[in-house]
Amino acid sequence: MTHIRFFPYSLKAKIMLSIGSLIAILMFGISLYITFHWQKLILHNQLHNTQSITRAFSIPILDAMIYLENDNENYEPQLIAQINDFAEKVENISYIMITNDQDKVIAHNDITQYNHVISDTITAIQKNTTAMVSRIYKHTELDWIMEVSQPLKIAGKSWGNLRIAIDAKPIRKEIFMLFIWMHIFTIIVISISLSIIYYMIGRMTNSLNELVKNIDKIDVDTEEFQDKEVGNDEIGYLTHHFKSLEKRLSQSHQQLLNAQSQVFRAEKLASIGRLASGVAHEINNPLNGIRNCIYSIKQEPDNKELHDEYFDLINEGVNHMENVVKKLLGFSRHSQPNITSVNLNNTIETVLHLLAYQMDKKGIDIQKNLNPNLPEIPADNSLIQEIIMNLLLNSYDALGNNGLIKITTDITQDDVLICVEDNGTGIPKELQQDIFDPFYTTKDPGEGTGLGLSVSLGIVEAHGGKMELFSNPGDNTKFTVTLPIKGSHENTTDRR
Amino acid sequence: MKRVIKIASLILALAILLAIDFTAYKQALNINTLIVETSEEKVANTNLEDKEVVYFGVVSRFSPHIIYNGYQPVMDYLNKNTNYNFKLKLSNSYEETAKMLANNEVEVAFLGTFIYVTTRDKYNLKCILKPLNEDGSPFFHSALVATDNSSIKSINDIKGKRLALPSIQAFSGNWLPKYELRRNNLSESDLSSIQHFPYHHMVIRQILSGNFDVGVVKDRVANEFLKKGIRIVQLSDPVPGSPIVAGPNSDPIIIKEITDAFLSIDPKKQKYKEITKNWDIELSYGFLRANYEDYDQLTKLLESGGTEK
Repeated sequence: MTHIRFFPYSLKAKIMLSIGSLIAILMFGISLYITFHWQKLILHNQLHNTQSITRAFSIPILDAMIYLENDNENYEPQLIAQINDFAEKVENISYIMITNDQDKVIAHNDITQYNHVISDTITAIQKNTTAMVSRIYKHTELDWIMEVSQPLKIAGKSWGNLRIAIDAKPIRKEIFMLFIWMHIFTIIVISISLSIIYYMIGRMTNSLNELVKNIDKIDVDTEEFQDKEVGNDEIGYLTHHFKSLEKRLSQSHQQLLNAQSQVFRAEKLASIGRLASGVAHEINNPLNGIRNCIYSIKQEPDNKELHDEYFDLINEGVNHMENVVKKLLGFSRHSQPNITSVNLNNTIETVLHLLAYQMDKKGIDIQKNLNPNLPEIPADNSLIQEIIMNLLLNSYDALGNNGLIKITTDITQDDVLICVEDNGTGIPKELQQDIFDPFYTTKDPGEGTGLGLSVSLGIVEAHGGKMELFSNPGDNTKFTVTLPIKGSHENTTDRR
Repeated sequence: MKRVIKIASLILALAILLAIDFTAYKQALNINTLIVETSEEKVANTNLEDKEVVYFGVVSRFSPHIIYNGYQPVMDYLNKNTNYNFKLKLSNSYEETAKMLANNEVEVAFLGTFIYVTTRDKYNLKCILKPLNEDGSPFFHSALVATDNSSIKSINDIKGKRLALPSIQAFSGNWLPKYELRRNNLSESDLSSIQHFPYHHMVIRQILSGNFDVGVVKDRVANEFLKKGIRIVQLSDPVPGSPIVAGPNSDPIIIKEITDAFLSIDPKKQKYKEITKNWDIELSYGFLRANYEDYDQLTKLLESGGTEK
C-alpha cells in the first residue's frame, strides 16, 4: 500500500522549501544589489546633470560678473534677468543664487534673499577648495534638494559662488519606484523558478511513487516480478536495482522457508522422541495380551470357543496398536499442506491420547472443559496438533508429580479459543517477553530445542490467530490460542 | 517541540528578511550625498590684502571670460613675484584701454600692436615689453582663414566672398582690407561683404557657422582652431608682438618690478613651463624689452597704405 506523506513533510516540500529559500535569498540579495547600484547611477546621473547645468550657466554669469566689476552697471539687470529666466525655464529649480567672496547673496531668484549671508556646510567646504561642491540633503523648508555650488573664479581671481538647487523629491520617487519594481521582479522570478522546480520535482517524485507502488506489489512467494519500463535517469537506475533486490529477496525468502520447514521437522521429531515411551507402553500392553492369548491357544488347541474369545482379544489388541501407530504417523507425517475442516475438540482428544501414558506416569490430572458446540474451522489438522502437543508438553515439563492441567475450548463471536493452563511454578515476569523467541528455553540442555513456542506462534499467526501468555510466577501459567472461525490461510501452506 | 522550533525558525528568518528589506528601503531613500570634486588648483594663500592694488589693462580683443582665463594666471604670477596686487581692468574697446593708460586708470596694459602704433604719440605711451612667439622671435602674424571644406585656396579666391574681421582697432582688422588687398590688386569692392566683430573668436564662429566665407584673426587664434574645421589660407608678414605698455604717469618702480618679473621667465626651463602653462599662448614664450623703434616699421607700413613692406 502506498502511503503519501502529508505535504509539509514530503520530499517535494522539503526540496521546494530548501531550494525556494536559496533562490529567494539569492534573488533578494541580487535585487538589493541592483537597487543600490541603480540608486547610485540615478544619483550620479542627476548630480552630473545638475553639475553640467551649473557649470554651463556659470560661464555667462562669470562674464556678467566681470563686466560688473569693470564698472559696467548695465550688466546688473542682465544678470538678474538671466537668473530669473533660467529659474523659469529649467524644471524643478528650487533656487539660484550668487554669493560674493564674503558669502553674501548678491543675486537670487527670490528677491527677499538678497544680502543674506550664507553660512552652511557648502560655504565651509568652499573656503578650503576651489572645486565644485555638490550635495543632496533634506532642507528645512524645501524638503529634499540637490545643491551644486560652482566657484566663480578664474585662476587666482574669485568673484564668489554660483549655487543652483534642484528639487530632489522626483529622484526619491524614482528610487522608490525602482525599489518597488525590483521587488515585483524578484517575486516574479522566484515564482517562475519555484514553478519550474515544482514541475521538475513532481516528475521526479512521480517516478518515486511509481517505485513505491511496485514495492507494495512485491510478492516474494510467487517469484513473479514487475517488469515495467524504466527510465534512463537516477530513478530508473534505482528501479533497476530495486528489481535486482526483489529477486534476491525472493530467493532469501525461499531459503528462509526451507530452513523454517527443517526447524518444524526437527521440532516434530523431538516431540516424537518424547512420545516414544508412551507409544512403546501403548504397544507393549496389547502385545503382552496377544502373547498370552497365543500361549493359551497353544495350551488348548482344541478349545474352539476359547480360540474365538482369544482371537477377538488379539484382534482388539492389533486394532489398538494400529490405532496408536496411525495417530503417531498422523502426527509425524511430513505431508503437504492440507486445509480441512477441523474439530478442535477431536484434535485435542487425539493429542491427549498420545500423551496419556506420560501424564498417567507422572500422576498429572487432565481436566477437560471442551465446548461441545465448537464449530469446525478451516485449518491444517497436523499443525493444530503440533500447537496443542507443544503446549501440553510445556505444561507437563513445568509440573511435578500430581500436577493439574486444564484444557478448555470455547467460542466467541468470530473466534474459537483453546486454553491450556497448569498449576506449575509460573514464568517470571522478566522472562515472559522472551518466551516466544526462537531457541529460547529454560529447560536443561537436551530436554528442549527452544523452538516449541516459537513454532507454535508462527503456526497460529499463519492461521490468522493470536497466542497469548498469562502467568503468575509461582502459581500458574496459561496459554490462550485464538483462531478465527472463518480462517485465514493465505500463508499457512508455507509453514511446513 | 521540533515542529515548534521549525515554525519559530521560519518566522525568525522571515522577520530577519523583512528587517533587512525595511533597512534597505530606508537606506535606498536616504539620498544624503556630499561630493567635493578634486581640484588641482589650490586655494591662494598669498595675502594680497596688504599689497597696493595696481590695475593692469587689457584690450578687448577677446571676450571677458577668455581674457580672464589667459591673463588672470599672469596676474597671479605678478602677485606672487612683485610687491603689488595686480588686477585686470577690461575695457569695451581697444582705444579705451589706451585712454586708461593716458588717464593713469591703469599703470600698464596689454595693448594691441595696431592700437599702440596708432595712439602711442597721441597718449604718450611707452612700450616696455614685447612677447616672443614659439620660435623665440618677437612677432606674430595675422591669418586669412577659411573652413576646411572651403574652395578658397589663396587670397585671389576671395573675390565675391563675405569677409569677417575683428575690431577695426586691431591689426588683423586692418591688414587685409587696407594693405593686403591692394598688394594683390584687389579692393574692398571685390568682396561681397565685410563686417567687423568685437573679438577674434567671434570671427571664427561666424565662419564656422557659415555666415561668412573667410576671415582674418591673429595666428594664435587661428592655430587654436586648426583641426577643428578651420584652415589658414595665408599669413601676413611678421608683425611686432602686442606690447605691454606703460602710461605717461606710470610708476617707474612698478614698471621695473613688472619688467623684472616678466624678463626672468625662461620658457625653456621646466619650472617656467609649469608657471606659464595656463597663460594666454601669446604670452607663454617669454618677453623681450621693447623699444619705440621696434614698431617703426609698422608705422611706415600704415603710413604707406600697404605699399611699403
